[in-house]
Amino acid sequence: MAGSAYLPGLAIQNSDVLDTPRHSALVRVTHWITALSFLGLFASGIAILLAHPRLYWGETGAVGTPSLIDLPLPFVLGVPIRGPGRYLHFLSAWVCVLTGLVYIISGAFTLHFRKNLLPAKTDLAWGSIWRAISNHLHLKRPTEEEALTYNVLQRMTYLTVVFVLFPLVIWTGLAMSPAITSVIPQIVTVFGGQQSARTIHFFVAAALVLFLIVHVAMVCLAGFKNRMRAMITGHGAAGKELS
Amino acid sequence: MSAILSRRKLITTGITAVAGASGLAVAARLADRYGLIPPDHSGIFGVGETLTYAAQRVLMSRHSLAREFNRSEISKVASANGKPPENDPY
Repeated sequence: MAGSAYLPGLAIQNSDVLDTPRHSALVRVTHWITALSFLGLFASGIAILLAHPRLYWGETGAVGTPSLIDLPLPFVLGVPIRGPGRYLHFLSAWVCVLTGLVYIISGAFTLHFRKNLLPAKTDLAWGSIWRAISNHLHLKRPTEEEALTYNVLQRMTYLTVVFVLFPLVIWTGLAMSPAITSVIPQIVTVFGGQQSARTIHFFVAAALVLFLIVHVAMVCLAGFKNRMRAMITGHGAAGKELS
Repeated sequence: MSAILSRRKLITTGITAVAGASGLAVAARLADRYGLIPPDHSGIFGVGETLTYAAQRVLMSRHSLAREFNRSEISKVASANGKPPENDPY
């Protein structure tokens, strides 16, 4: 509203709100680089999987041996997608891992995780978690004020993605490398073998894809324009709802 | 935040850029000397390939050997993935 701009106190408050970005520049840059690399990993991962869409447990597995899961996908061997897929997977993985390291180290130093992602103790009570779940189930949009911080479900999801799923997918990926397991065999033996590592790699990657789908769906439901603006420019609602 | 481009910003950016470029050049020279540049280092995937190749060589520089397996861990069927090519001299 135009009237409020004449009140000096309010005006300062508003400019304060607008000057502190919703997401820090580092979070925004690493977010989009990770998003891009994840797209590359997803596409190339499918290309690699299609060379042999069966999952095994233990050290070995081949067409003639018992498999854990036969994915309902065709063996694509005639189309040359494996080579480029592998190249793209490794390049994207490097981008993803290096960006992730920058994010983790700077996030630890700037207290990003403690301030923005660690749920408050009071929020971890069942009542509070249940309220958040019920809000989601009723498709209740957050108010602009609520949208300035993450709710308890978001915090737990992001922490799981950053500190459980990504480390696990990187670990199982490295466990499939003969070069790395020749130096540190324990990296693969803890999973019970290379094929087990591959199977876990598949399921963790699937969990990350599920996260991506829910994440994008929630961004759309909560207000695509504002959320995108916040993650690109740092500022959410362009002063309209706030002033 | 006053001007978009202050003198201080310009100088720090310049120094960072020069330091980064010379660091990269030194890294490339060193990598070349220690044989860390793969044959397929050019092209769009070259950066990833070079990083993988170099990281593996550095990690395995103490000549680690491939893992050994028990007889029970070796697969009984060693079928090729797909049919062997028919046209090539295979």
